[in-house]
Amino acid sequence: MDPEELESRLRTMLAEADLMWVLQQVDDAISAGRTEVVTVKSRRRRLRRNAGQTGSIFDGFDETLPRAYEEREPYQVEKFTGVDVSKAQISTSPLSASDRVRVLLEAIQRLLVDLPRVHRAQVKLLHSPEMDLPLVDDIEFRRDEGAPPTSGDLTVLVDHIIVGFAGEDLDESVLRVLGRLGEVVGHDQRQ
Amino acid sequence: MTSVNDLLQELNGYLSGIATSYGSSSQPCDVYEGYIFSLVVAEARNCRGIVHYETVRGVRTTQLVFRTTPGQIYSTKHPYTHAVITFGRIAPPLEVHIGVQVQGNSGVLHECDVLVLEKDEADLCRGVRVAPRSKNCALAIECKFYTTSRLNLGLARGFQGLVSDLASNARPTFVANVSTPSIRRYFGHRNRHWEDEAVPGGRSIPNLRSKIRDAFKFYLSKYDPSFSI
Repeated sequence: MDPEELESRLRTMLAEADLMWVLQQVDDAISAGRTEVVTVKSRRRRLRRNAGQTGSIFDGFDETLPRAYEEREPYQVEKFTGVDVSKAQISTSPLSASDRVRVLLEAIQRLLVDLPRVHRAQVKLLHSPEMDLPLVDDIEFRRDEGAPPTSGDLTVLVDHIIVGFAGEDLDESVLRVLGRLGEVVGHDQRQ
Repeated sequence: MTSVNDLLQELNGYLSGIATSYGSSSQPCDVYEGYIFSLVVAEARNCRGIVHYETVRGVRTTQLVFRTTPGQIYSTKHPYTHAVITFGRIAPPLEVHIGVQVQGNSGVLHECDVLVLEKDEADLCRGVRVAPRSKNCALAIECKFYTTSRLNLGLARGFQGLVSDLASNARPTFVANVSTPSIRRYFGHRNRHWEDEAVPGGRSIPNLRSKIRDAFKFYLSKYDPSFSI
Protein backbone atom coordinates (compact mmCIF):
# COMPACT_ATOMS: atom_id res chain seq x y z
CA MET A 1 0.00 0.00 0.00
CA ASP A 2 1.51 3.36 -0.99
CA PRO A 3 1.53 6.37 1.37
CA GLU A 4 -1.20 8.19 -0.57
CA GLU A 5 -3.61 5.26 -0.23
CA LEU A 6 -2.74 4.79 3.45
CA GLU A 7 -3.36 8.51 4.07
CA SER A 8 -6.72 8.25 2.33
CA ARG A 9 -7.74 5.18 4.35
CA LEU A 10 -6.77 6.81 7.66
CA ARG A 11 -8.68 9.97 6.78
CA THR A 12 -11.76 7.96 5.89
CA MET A 13 -11.57 6.05 9.18
CA LEU A 14 -11.39 9.25 11.22
CA ALA A 15 -14.27 10.80 9.30
CA GLU A 16 -16.43 7.69 9.66
CA ALA A 17 -15.72 7.60 13.40
CA ASP A 18 -17.04 11.16 13.58
CA LEU A 19 -13.67 12.47 14.66
CA MET A 20 -13.67 15.45 12.33
CA TRP A 21 -12.01 17.63 14.96
CA VAL A 22 -8.94 15.40 14.81
CA LEU A 23 -8.87 15.72 11.01
CA GLN A 24 -9.14 19.48 11.40
CA GLN A 25 -6.07 19.56 13.63
CA VAL A 26 -4.25 17.26 11.22
CA ASP A 27 -5.10 19.52 8.28
CA ASP A 28 -3.92 22.58 10.19
CA ALA A 29 -0.60 20.87 10.85
CA ILE A 30 -0.30 19.77 7.22
CA SER A 31 -1.08 23.24 5.88
CA ALA A 32 1.58 24.71 8.19
CA GLY A 33 4.09 22.47 6.41
CA ARG A 34 7.55 21.57 7.58
CA THR A 35 9.25 24.53 9.21
CA GLU A 36 12.98 24.94 9.26
CA VAL A 37 15.07 27.72 10.73
CA VAL A 38 17.77 28.68 8.26
CA THR A 39 20.38 31.34 7.75
CA VAL A 40 20.85 32.95 4.36
CA LYS A 41 24.32 33.87 3.27
CA SER A 42 25.46 35.57 0.12
CA ARG A 43 28.47 33.84 -1.41
CA ARG A 44 29.71 37.19 -2.59
CA ARG A 45 29.79 38.54 0.93
CA ARG A 46 31.86 35.60 2.04
CA LEU A 47 34.40 36.24 -0.71
CA ARG A 48 34.63 39.87 0.27
CA ARG A 49 35.37 38.88 3.81
CA ASN A 50 38.27 36.90 2.47
CA ALA A 51 39.49 39.69 0.21
CA GLY A 52 43.24 39.97 0.25
CA GLN A 53 43.76 36.24 0.57
CA THR A 54 45.29 34.33 -2.26
CA GLY A 55 44.62 30.89 -3.59
CA SER A 56 43.13 29.05 -6.50
CA ILE A 57 39.54 29.83 -5.56
CA PHE A 58 40.22 33.56 -5.87
CA ASP A 59 41.92 33.30 -9.25
CA GLY A 60 40.18 35.25 -11.98
CA PHE A 61 37.93 37.13 -9.57
CA ASP A 62 38.67 40.76 -8.86
CA GLU A 63 36.82 41.91 -5.74
CA THR A 64 37.61 45.53 -6.40
CA LEU A 65 35.46 45.65 -9.53
CA PRO A 66 31.69 46.14 -9.27
CA ARG A 67 29.79 43.12 -10.60
CA ALA A 68 26.78 43.20 -12.83
CA TYR A 69 23.51 42.31 -11.11
CA GLU A 70 23.06 39.16 -13.21
CA GLU A 71 26.55 37.95 -12.35
CA ARG A 72 25.99 37.90 -8.62
CA GLU A 73 26.38 34.58 -6.92
CA PRO A 74 23.19 32.88 -5.67
CA TYR A 75 22.31 32.99 -1.99
CA GLN A 76 23.33 30.09 0.16
CA VAL A 77 20.72 28.67 2.51
CA GLU A 78 22.06 26.71 5.47
CA LYS A 79 20.50 25.23 8.55
CA PHE A 80 20.64 27.79 11.36
CA THR A 81 22.85 26.66 14.20
CA GLY A 82 23.80 29.95 15.86
CA VAL A 83 22.28 31.79 18.79
CA ASP A 84 21.80 35.22 17.22
CA VAL A 85 18.14 34.97 16.14
CA SER A 86 18.46 38.15 14.11
CA LYS A 87 20.38 36.04 11.57
CA ALA A 88 17.73 33.32 11.46
CA GLN A 89 15.00 33.07 8.84
CA ILE A 90 12.06 30.71 8.61
CA SER A 91 11.65 28.39 5.65
CA THR A 92 8.64 26.14 5.11
CA SER A 93 8.12 23.28 2.71
CA PRO A 94 5.08 21.11 2.03
CA LEU A 95 4.80 17.70 3.65
CA SER A 96 5.22 14.59 1.55
CA ALA A 97 2.58 11.86 1.55
CA SER A 98 4.73 9.88 4.00
CA ASP A 99 5.00 12.94 6.25
CA ARG A 100 1.23 13.37 6.15
CA VAL A 101 0.72 9.74 7.15
CA ARG A 102 3.09 10.29 10.09
CA VAL A 103 1.06 13.32 11.19
CA LEU A 104 -2.12 11.22 11.03
CA LEU A 105 -0.59 8.34 12.98
CA GLU A 106 0.79 10.75 15.57
CA ALA A 107 -2.65 12.32 16.00
CA ILE A 108 -4.30 8.91 16.37
CA GLN A 109 -1.72 7.91 18.98
CA ARG A 110 -2.42 11.07 21.01
CA LEU A 111 -6.13 10.32 20.79
CA LEU A 112 -6.04 6.59 21.55
CA VAL A 113 -3.11 6.36 23.96
CA ASP A 114 -2.09 9.75 25.39
CA LEU A 115 -5.57 11.06 26.09
CA PRO A 116 -6.75 7.94 27.99
CA ARG A 117 -3.48 8.10 29.98
CA VAL A 118 -4.25 11.72 30.92
CA HIS A 119 -7.75 10.59 31.81
CA ARG A 120 -6.54 7.76 34.01
CA ALA A 121 -3.92 9.97 35.68
CA GLN A 122 -6.56 12.56 36.52
CA VAL A 123 -8.80 10.00 38.17
CA LYS A 124 -5.87 8.33 39.91
CA LEU A 125 -4.67 11.62 41.41
CA LEU A 126 -8.12 12.57 42.65
CA HIS A 127 -9.15 9.11 43.75
CA SER A 128 -6.02 7.75 45.31
CA PRO A 129 -6.27 6.98 49.05
CA GLU A 130 -2.49 7.25 49.46
CA MET A 131 -2.67 10.90 48.37
CA ASP A 132 -4.64 11.61 51.55
CA LEU A 133 -7.08 13.69 49.53
CA PRO A 134 -10.84 13.56 49.98
CA LEU A 135 -12.17 10.75 47.83
CA VAL A 136 -14.03 11.77 44.71
CA ASP A 137 -17.11 9.80 43.70
CA ASP A 138 -17.68 11.34 40.31
CA ILE A 139 -16.26 13.91 37.91
CA GLU A 140 -18.50 15.64 35.40
CA PHE A 141 -18.10 18.44 32.90
CA ARG A 142 -21.27 20.44 32.27
CA ARG A 143 -21.99 23.21 29.82
CA ASP A 144 -22.42 26.60 31.46
CA GLU A 145 -25.11 29.12 30.61
CA GLY A 146 -24.35 30.90 27.35
CA ALA A 147 -21.86 28.22 26.24
CA PRO A 148 -22.21 27.01 22.65
CA PRO A 149 -23.93 23.61 22.23
CA THR A 150 -20.85 22.35 20.37
CA SER A 151 -18.92 22.41 23.64
CA GLY A 152 -20.89 19.30 24.60
CA ASP A 153 -21.44 17.69 27.97
CA LEU A 154 -18.93 15.15 29.15
CA THR A 155 -19.37 12.80 32.04
CA VAL A 156 -16.33 11.15 33.51
CA LEU A 157 -17.02 8.20 35.76
CA VAL A 158 -14.38 7.35 38.25
CA ASP A 159 -15.01 3.62 38.12
CA HIS A 160 -15.57 3.45 34.38
CA ILE A 161 -13.06 5.88 33.00
CA ILE A 162 -13.85 5.26 29.39
CA VAL A 163 -15.97 2.31 28.38
CA GLY A 164 -13.66 -0.25 26.83
CA PHE A 165 -10.66 2.01 27.20
CA ALA A 166 -9.42 1.61 30.70
CA GLY A 167 -6.33 -0.52 30.36
CA GLU A 168 -2.65 -0.12 29.65
CA ASP A 169 -2.74 -3.45 27.80
CA LEU A 170 -4.91 -1.76 25.25
CA ASP A 171 -2.35 1.05 24.94
CA GLU A 172 0.23 -1.54 23.97
CA SER A 173 -2.08 -3.05 21.35
CA VAL A 174 -2.74 0.37 19.82
CA LEU A 175 0.96 1.27 19.83
CA ARG A 176 1.77 -2.03 18.14
CA VAL A 177 -0.72 -1.35 15.33
CA LEU A 178 0.45 2.25 14.89
CA GLY A 179 4.09 1.15 14.89
CA ARG A 180 3.42 -1.41 12.15
CA LEU A 181 1.55 1.15 10.07
CA GLY A 182 4.42 3.59 10.59
CA GLU A 183 6.78 1.03 9.10
CA VAL A 184 4.81 1.30 5.85
CA VAL A 185 6.04 4.86 5.37
CA GLY A 186 9.39 4.39 7.11
CA HIS A 187 11.03 6.40 9.84
CA ASP A 188 11.37 10.13 9.46
CA GLN A 189 15.02 10.55 8.49
CA ARG A 190 14.96 14.29 8.95
CA GLN A 191 14.14 14.30 12.62
CA MET B 1 2.10 -11.83 8.76
CA THR B 2 -0.61 -9.26 9.44
CA SER B 3 -1.50 -7.26 6.36
CA VAL B 4 -1.92 -3.50 6.31
CA ASN B 5 -5.63 -4.04 5.75
CA ASP B 6 -5.84 -6.13 8.92
CA LEU B 7 -3.98 -3.44 10.86
CA LEU B 8 -6.32 -0.75 9.56
CA GLN B 9 -9.33 -2.84 10.47
CA GLU B 10 -8.02 -3.28 14.02
CA LEU B 11 -7.31 0.45 14.27
CA ASN B 12 -10.80 1.21 13.02
CA GLY B 13 -12.22 -0.75 15.94
CA TYR B 14 -10.20 1.27 18.45
CA LEU B 15 -11.27 4.56 16.84
CA SER B 16 -14.93 3.59 16.91
CA GLY B 17 -14.60 2.75 20.60
CA ILE B 18 -13.12 6.09 21.59
CA ALA B 19 -15.25 8.28 19.33
CA THR B 20 -18.17 8.08 21.74
CA SER B 21 -15.99 9.48 24.53
CA TYR B 22 -14.33 12.29 22.60
CA GLY B 23 -16.71 13.53 19.94
CA SER B 24 -15.50 17.12 19.93
CA SER B 25 -12.19 18.91 20.40
CA SER B 26 -13.42 20.52 23.62
CA GLN B 27 -13.75 17.18 25.39
CA PRO B 28 -10.04 16.27 25.31
CA CYS B 29 -9.34 19.80 26.52
CA ASP B 30 -11.78 19.25 29.39
CA VAL B 31 -9.98 16.08 30.38
CA TYR B 32 -6.61 17.81 30.13
CA GLU B 33 -7.78 20.73 32.28
CA GLY B 34 -9.09 18.19 34.79
CA TYR B 35 -5.67 16.54 34.83
CA ILE B 36 -3.88 19.85 35.45
CA PHE B 37 -6.45 20.68 38.17
CA SER B 38 -5.67 17.34 39.81
CA LEU B 39 -1.94 18.13 39.68
CA VAL B 40 -2.56 21.46 41.47
CA VAL B 41 -4.62 19.71 44.13
CA ALA B 42 -2.06 16.91 44.56
CA GLU B 43 0.79 19.41 44.83
CA ALA B 44 -1.16 21.39 47.42
CA ARG B 45 -1.49 18.24 49.48
CA ASN B 46 2.20 17.56 48.94
CA CYS B 47 2.91 21.04 50.36
CA ARG B 48 1.00 20.21 53.56
CA GLY B 49 -2.20 21.84 52.41
CA ILE B 50 -5.58 20.52 53.57
CA VAL B 51 -7.95 20.03 50.65
CA HIS B 52 -11.70 19.68 50.33
CA TYR B 53 -14.20 20.29 47.56
CA GLU B 54 -17.14 22.71 47.59
CA THR B 55 -19.92 23.59 45.23
CA VAL B 56 -20.65 27.13 44.10
CA ARG B 57 -23.13 27.32 47.01
CA GLY B 58 -20.44 26.43 49.54
CA VAL B 59 -21.65 22.86 50.18
CA ARG B 60 -18.98 20.21 50.67
CA THR B 61 -19.11 17.53 47.99
CA THR B 62 -17.39 14.51 46.53
CA GLN B 63 -19.12 14.89 43.14
CA LEU B 64 -16.96 17.20 41.05
CA VAL B 65 -18.74 19.22 38.37
CA PHE B 66 -16.64 21.38 36.06
CA ARG B 67 -17.44 23.65 33.12
CA THR B 68 -16.94 22.53 29.53
CA THR B 69 -16.22 26.14 28.58
CA PRO B 70 -15.10 29.08 30.70
CA GLY B 71 -17.94 30.68 32.64
CA GLN B 72 -18.53 32.94 35.61
CA ILE B 73 -17.36 31.90 39.05
CA TYR B 74 -20.83 32.73 40.41
CA SER B 75 -22.80 30.67 37.87
CA THR B 76 -25.29 28.34 39.54
CA LYS B 77 -26.62 26.59 36.46
CA HIS B 78 -24.96 23.42 37.74
CA PRO B 79 -23.37 22.75 41.14
CA TYR B 80 -19.96 23.70 39.80
CA THR B 81 -17.17 22.58 42.06
CA HIS B 82 -13.84 23.96 43.19
CA ALA B 83 -11.13 22.78 45.56
CA VAL B 84 -10.44 24.67 48.77
CA ILE B 85 -6.86 24.56 50.04
CA THR B 86 -5.87 25.58 53.55
CA PHE B 87 -2.23 26.05 54.52
CA GLY B 88 -2.15 26.34 58.31
CA ARG B 89 -4.25 28.74 60.39
CA ILE B 90 -2.90 32.11 59.38
CA ALA B 91 -2.91 32.35 55.57
CA PRO B 92 -6.37 32.77 54.04
CA PRO B 93 -7.44 29.65 52.11
CA LEU B 94 -7.07 29.37 48.34
CA GLU B 95 -9.53 27.99 45.80
CA VAL B 96 -8.76 26.06 42.61
CA HIS B 97 -11.22 26.40 39.72
CA ILE B 98 -11.53 25.07 36.20
CA GLY B 99 -12.73 27.36 33.41
CA VAL B 100 -13.63 30.67 35.00
CA GLN B 101 -13.31 34.21 33.76
CA VAL B 102 -11.03 36.68 35.50
CA GLN B 103 -10.76 40.45 35.21
CA GLY B 104 -7.48 41.78 33.84
CA ASN B 105 -5.76 45.05 34.68
CA SER B 106 -7.43 46.70 31.69
CA GLY B 107 -10.88 45.87 33.05
CA VAL B 108 -11.74 43.21 30.43
CA LEU B 109 -12.51 39.56 31.13
CA HIS B 110 -10.15 36.71 30.27
CA GLU B 111 -10.72 32.98 30.34
CA CYS B 112 -8.54 30.94 32.68
CA ASP B 113 -8.45 27.17 32.24
CA VAL B 114 -7.17 26.47 35.75
CA LEU B 115 -7.19 29.30 38.27
CA VAL B 116 -5.92 29.48 41.85
CA LEU B 117 -7.23 32.50 43.75
CA GLU B 118 -7.82 33.74 47.27
CA LYS B 119 -10.99 32.35 48.83
CA ASP B 120 -11.90 35.81 50.15
CA GLU B 121 -11.93 37.16 46.60
CA ALA B 122 -13.93 34.15 45.36
CA ASP B 123 -16.51 34.55 48.16
CA LEU B 124 -16.90 38.22 47.33
CA CYS B 125 -17.34 37.46 43.62
CA ARG B 126 -19.99 34.78 44.29
CA GLY B 127 -21.76 37.11 46.69
CA VAL B 128 -22.11 40.11 44.41
CA ARG B 129 -21.81 38.29 41.04
CA VAL B 130 -18.65 39.85 39.67
CA ALA B 131 -15.55 38.33 38.10
CA PRO B 132 -12.44 37.89 40.26
CA ARG B 133 -9.60 40.38 39.84
CA SER B 134 -6.27 38.99 38.73
CA LYS B 135 -4.41 40.83 41.50
CA ASN B 136 -6.00 38.38 43.94
CA CYS B 137 -5.02 35.29 41.96
CA ALA B 138 -2.05 33.09 42.81
CA LEU B 139 -1.78 31.06 39.60
CA ALA B 140 -3.43 31.08 36.16
CA ILE B 141 -2.75 28.11 33.88
CA GLU B 142 -3.60 27.99 30.19
CA CYS B 143 -4.05 24.34 29.13
CA LYS B 144 -3.81 23.02 25.56
CA PHE B 145 -4.32 19.43 24.45
CA TYR B 146 -3.69 18.85 20.76
CA THR B 147 -3.38 15.72 18.69
CA THR B 148 -0.69 17.17 16.44
CA SER B 149 2.65 18.59 17.53
CA ARG B 150 2.31 21.78 15.54
CA LEU B 151 0.51 24.21 17.82
CA ASN B 152 -0.64 27.33 16.07
CA LEU B 153 1.46 30.33 17.02
CA GLY B 154 -1.79 32.22 17.51
CA LEU B 155 -2.21 30.29 20.78
CA ALA B 156 1.08 31.69 22.03
CA ARG B 157 0.16 35.19 20.89
CA GLY B 158 -3.16 34.89 22.72
CA PHE B 159 -1.34 33.80 25.84
CA GLN B 160 1.06 36.72 25.47
CA GLY B 161 -1.96 39.04 25.45
CA LEU B 162 -3.31 37.34 28.57
CA VAL B 163 0.03 37.71 30.37
CA SER B 164 0.24 41.40 29.56
CA ASP B 165 -3.15 42.06 31.16
CA LEU B 166 -2.99 39.84 34.26
CA ALA B 167 -1.30 40.91 37.46
CA SER B 168 2.16 39.41 37.81
CA ASN B 169 1.25 37.51 40.99
CA ALA B 170 -1.19 35.43 38.89
CA ARG B 171 1.96 33.83 37.41
CA PRO B 172 0.36 32.99 34.05
CA THR B 173 1.68 29.64 32.81
CA PHE B 174 1.14 27.94 29.46
CA VAL B 175 0.88 24.15 29.58
CA ALA B 176 0.52 21.86 26.56
CA ASN B 177 0.70 18.14 25.88
CA VAL B 178 2.86 18.69 22.80
CA SER B 179 5.91 20.77 22.01
CA THR B 180 6.28 23.14 19.10
CA PRO B 181 9.72 24.70 18.45
CA SER B 182 8.29 28.03 17.28
CA ILE B 183 6.26 28.37 20.47
CA ARG B 184 9.26 27.50 22.62
CA ARG B 185 11.26 30.16 20.76
CA TYR B 186 8.44 32.71 21.15
CA PHE B 187 8.00 32.16 24.88
CA GLY B 188 11.73 31.94 25.49
CA HIS B 189 12.23 35.26 23.75
CA ARG B 190 9.58 36.83 25.98
CA ASN B 191 10.67 35.11 29.18
CA ARG B 192 7.29 33.47 29.81
CA HIS B 193 6.39 30.54 32.05
CA TRP B 194 5.54 27.46 30.02
CA GLU B 195 5.74 23.67 30.14
CA ASP B 196 5.18 21.53 27.08
CA GLU B 197 4.95 17.75 26.67
CA ALA B 198 3.17 17.86 30.02
CA VAL B 199 1.62 14.39 30.03
CA PRO B 200 1.56 11.72 32.74
CA GLY B 201 5.05 10.35 33.25
CA GLY B 202 6.53 13.11 31.08
CA ARG B 203 9.67 14.99 32.02
CA SER B 204 7.76 18.27 32.24
CA ILE B 205 5.47 17.16 35.05
CA PRO B 206 8.04 17.60 37.87
CA ASN B 207 8.81 21.07 36.45
CA LEU B 208 5.14 21.95 36.34
CA ARG B 209 4.62 20.73 39.89
CA SER B 210 7.57 22.86 40.91
CA LYS B 211 5.94 25.91 39.32
CA ILE B 212 2.72 25.16 41.19
CA ARG B 213 4.67 24.83 44.42
CA ASP B 214 6.40 28.15 43.74
CA ALA B 215 2.98 29.80 43.41
CA PHE B 216 1.96 28.43 46.83
CA LYS B 217 5.32 29.45 48.29
CA PHE B 218 5.02 32.98 46.95
CA TYR B 219 1.45 33.26 48.28
CA LEU B 220 2.45 32.01 51.72
CA SER B 221 5.42 34.37 51.85
CA LYS B 222 2.91 37.22 51.90
CA TYR B 223 0.53 35.84 54.52
CA ASP B 224 2.40 33.29 56.61
CA PRO B 225 6.16 33.19 56.04
CA SER B 226 6.52 30.83 58.98
CA PHE B 227 4.58 28.09 57.18
CA SER B 228 7.11 25.93 55.44
CA ILE B 229 6.14 23.82 52.48
